[in-house]
Amino acid sequence: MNLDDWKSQIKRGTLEYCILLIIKKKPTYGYELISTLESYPIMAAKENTIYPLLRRLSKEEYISSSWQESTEGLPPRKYYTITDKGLAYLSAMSVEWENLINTINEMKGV
Amino acid sequence: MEGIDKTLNNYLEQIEKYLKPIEVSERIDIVKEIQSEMLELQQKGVSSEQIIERLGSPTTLAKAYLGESISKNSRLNWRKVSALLAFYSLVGLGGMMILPVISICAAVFLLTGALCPIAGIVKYAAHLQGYEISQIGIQLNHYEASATAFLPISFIIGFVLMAVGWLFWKLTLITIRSMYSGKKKLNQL
Repeated sequence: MNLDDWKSQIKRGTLEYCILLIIKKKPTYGYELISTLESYPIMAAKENTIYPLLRRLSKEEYISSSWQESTEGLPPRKYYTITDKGLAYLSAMSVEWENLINTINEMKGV
Repeated sequence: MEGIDKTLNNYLEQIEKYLKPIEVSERIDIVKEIQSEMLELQQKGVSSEQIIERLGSPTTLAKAYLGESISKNSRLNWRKVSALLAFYSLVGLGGMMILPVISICAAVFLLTGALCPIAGIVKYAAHLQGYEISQIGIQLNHYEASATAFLPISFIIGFVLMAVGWLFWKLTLITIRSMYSGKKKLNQL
């Protein structure tokens, strides 16, 4: 077990949470989401991770999507929006996240 | 598809081809979304080669979609089976061919290995009762083992067969494990 393995496991476990957090802020399209994640090295993920994940989150109805025409020769974009079910899921995840952070802080003796 | 060159168009056509098990309306949507990112990147002045490098090979990307739909869809239906088949054909024929062969070998060797000493015991027991079972025995050229000699021989042969079966079984486990880690990598980042 090396550090990179561990980091990739953390990423795998939290990516869904991060994606929902980003989409919650405002409707986001795929490439925009990937770019946002890319700006945080610990969360950087490729298209072949994000698109299938978005598709699953849509199927599970945590997010919904709609195509929107862009202006000035830009391609139409598929925007993702968080649903009520997604919001409920996200707040449940946030509780667990706080719980995890508190646990770790307690173990560290902070 | 307008606005993109031949390289990118080919890429999308391949994705579309690999995603055949996915329902047509969804498939079109997936391709359209990838195309949208291509156009977006093109607008930023990224070359077609760089775009493809960024997206990864069409098989990898298609596998990721298929893998996700296999692992997250608990209902077993024809669509899932065909997704599974498409997935394994992308994973490689190896998994589809090797696994059944070695697992069957493992089962057959273990079974015959277990049966062999039983046959030896049966023949020996019958011999003690005064019966000779000629259907059970071992024959090498002109040598035919007596019931007394056959008993230990059957145990040795049984042991060897079991050992071979056990090796095939280990091989089966290793193959499954390596396939599983391949699938795990696929869902990884």
